[in-house]
Amino acid sequence: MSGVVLEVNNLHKSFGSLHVLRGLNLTVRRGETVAVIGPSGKGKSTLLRCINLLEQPDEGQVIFEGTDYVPIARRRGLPLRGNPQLRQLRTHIGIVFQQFNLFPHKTAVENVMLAPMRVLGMSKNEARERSLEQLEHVGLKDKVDNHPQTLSGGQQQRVAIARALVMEPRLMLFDEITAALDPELVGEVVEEMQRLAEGGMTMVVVTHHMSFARHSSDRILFVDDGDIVEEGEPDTLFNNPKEPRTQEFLAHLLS
Amino acid sequence: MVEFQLDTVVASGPRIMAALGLTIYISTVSMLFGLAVGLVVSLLRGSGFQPFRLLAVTYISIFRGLPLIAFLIWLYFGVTVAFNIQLSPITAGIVVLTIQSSAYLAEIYRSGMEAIPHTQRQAAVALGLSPVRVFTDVQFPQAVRIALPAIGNEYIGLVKGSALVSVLGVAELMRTSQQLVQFYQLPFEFFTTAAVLYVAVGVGLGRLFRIVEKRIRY
Amino acid sequence: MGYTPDFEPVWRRADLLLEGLAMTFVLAIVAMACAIVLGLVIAVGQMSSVRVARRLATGYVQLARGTPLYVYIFWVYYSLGSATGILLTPFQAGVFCLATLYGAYLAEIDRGALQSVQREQREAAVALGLTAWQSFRDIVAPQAVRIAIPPTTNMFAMLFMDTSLVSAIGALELIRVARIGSSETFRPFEFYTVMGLIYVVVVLVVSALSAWLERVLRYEDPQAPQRSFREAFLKRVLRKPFSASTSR
Ligand SMILES: Nc1ncnc2c1ncn2[C@@H]1O[C@H](COP(=O)(O)OP(=O)(O)OP(=O)(O)O)[C@@H](O)[C@H]1O
Ligand SMILES: [Mg+2]
Repeated sequence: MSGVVLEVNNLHKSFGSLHVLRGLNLTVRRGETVAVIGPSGKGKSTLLRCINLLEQPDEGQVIFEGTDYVPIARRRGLPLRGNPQLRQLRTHIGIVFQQFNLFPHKTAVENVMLAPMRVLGMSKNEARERSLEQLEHVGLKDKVDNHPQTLSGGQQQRVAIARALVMEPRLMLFDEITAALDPELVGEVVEEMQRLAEGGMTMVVVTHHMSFARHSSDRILFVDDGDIVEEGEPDTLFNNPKEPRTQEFLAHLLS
Repeated sequence: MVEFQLDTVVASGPRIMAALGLTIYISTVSMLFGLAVGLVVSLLRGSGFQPFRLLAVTYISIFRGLPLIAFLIWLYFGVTVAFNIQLSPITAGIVVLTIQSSAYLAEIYRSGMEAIPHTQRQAAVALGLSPVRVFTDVQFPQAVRIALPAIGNEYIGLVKGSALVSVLGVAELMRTSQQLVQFYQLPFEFFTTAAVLYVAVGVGLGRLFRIVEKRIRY
Repeated sequence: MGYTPDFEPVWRRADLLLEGLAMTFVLAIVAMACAIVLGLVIAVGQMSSVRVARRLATGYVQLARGTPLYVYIFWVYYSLGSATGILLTPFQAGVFCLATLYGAYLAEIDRGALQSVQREQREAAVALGLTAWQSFRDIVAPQAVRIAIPPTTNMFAMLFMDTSLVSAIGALELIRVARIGSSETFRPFEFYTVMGLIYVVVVLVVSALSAWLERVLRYEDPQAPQRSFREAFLKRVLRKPFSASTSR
């Protein structure tokens, strides 16, 4: 299928006796913004982590640009060990975490520069230049030499976005990146995602931010109990949810 | 490799055991004095009177920063000579171990006291207990209970530390072992025996303290 | 009674004391360097996925923690030579004993430091495409080092104190030279007093350095006022007593 970036088939993942993902299927096309919503603790993060193989799926396929990476990951067992093919995949998939996970011993620009230098083999100057550009895009031109602890949550999250974008990923994963922020800082981070969505980035966005899901995504998936319960275009899903669980979830949000 | 001359060690058993007895005696006496002196130091440290506090902190810092062996030599070969004081080596050893352990114990008491919730004190005061009573009846017993593991470790440390008193010629376990080594020319046998005994006493005391701790838990 | 201390002979033989101090530092620094390397090896062993390595490293740490240093020094110096034919100088025996015991203490510090770098940090690195080795070198190790430096510095203060035990097998260090000085001049009180003061000052300065480093190296609250080293030292001496305990 042309234009398909990511295809997830029959994905299963358990932690001990907890069956978190139960045969989930998902297709993401180039340029598409897919929002994933759903109640807490039901496998949304696990889904994202399986997509870049930070978690090892128990069963199923994760096909990125035509290659199934599950058997590749399985050959090496430990998710943090990786192998050249997995690293390749990870350079093409950017991920931004809820807790930022910036490197505290590096300045903003050093955080961004690290992967271009180490993974892409760029020279220090080139990496720095590109990183400064990215930081400028996310509005942090004057904070490039700050350490993460001297930045606000929103600023830290924008550094994390720049850190992922500098690798020029072909797919971006966002895992509730506004959830740990003070309410007044949510806007600036959501704006970055909107900018990316409008710029044609392919993204999977796990979010509780309903206005982003509604206005900036092309498609919404409602995930509960390890599977997609319902999916559809934002207006359809918000205005006419078919499944009772979706209705309940949305009603709960509005109350 | 030569064989371990166990029979020679066994033959010296009575002498070694007597020396071990002296080791235990020195460390126990020092521990008891140390517990008392340490309490005074920790009270001074916690007092509202600035000079006392300063004195206590300086005392603790100095005697924790001064190596035991240096302290022993200073007292026994320096101070006694200068001020013409008559001190037996054993007394000198006990004095030094007492002072050093009191510096450690003062801090142990203190962290024990700090671990007691403030509400305990307030409750006792609310019952109308006098400040002295609050301390003796409410705070101190609880602090000791909290501090017991650390106190136990300090005691074990003192048993090990008492080996250094051998530099003054006290025939405790270490010194006796050195003498036996010289006499029989069997360093491996006798030093190994000494090491095993120190470790065994440490492990044994550790067990004992854990039993005591369990007993007095509320 | 009526003794008048006279420190003039001590100043006259200051060269002797300085030599002893220098030797003590050499002993302490060499032992510490070896202990740091050994500590890292043990820490890696303790965290290794190989079970035998874990067992060995953990057993070593337990054994070392129970070993009384003073007896150990004699044991190594006198009996290792006669049992194995390897003859060590007092200095070498001292380095060996201090390094092997402090290596075990340092391993605990290193392990704690490495483990305190959160898993998320490694995940973030790996998610960017870094290799496991790169993520260790660029992300985990630098953070762990910062965490480990202050307690390691404090360990150095303790090790410095414990070099005094090596005097008993005849190594030339502070205690030894103070002995020489006092028998030369018949001024034991003065020599031993100065000797004691040197130990206390070095130990307190090093431990103040540790406290200061702890503040400087922390990432949190960058707005917090940075205390100067002088302040750290005064606080160490006047408010918060030295808190490390030696291995005795
Ligand atoms: N490494 C793990 N080990 C064990 N259980 C885990 C692990 N990771 C996640 N889980 C469990 O799997 C379930 C799904 O977790 P997940 O983080 O995917 O949920 P989520 O939908 O992202 O929730 P939230 O909205 O709270 O982030 C939870 O019950 C969680 O406790
Ligand atoms: Mg989540």
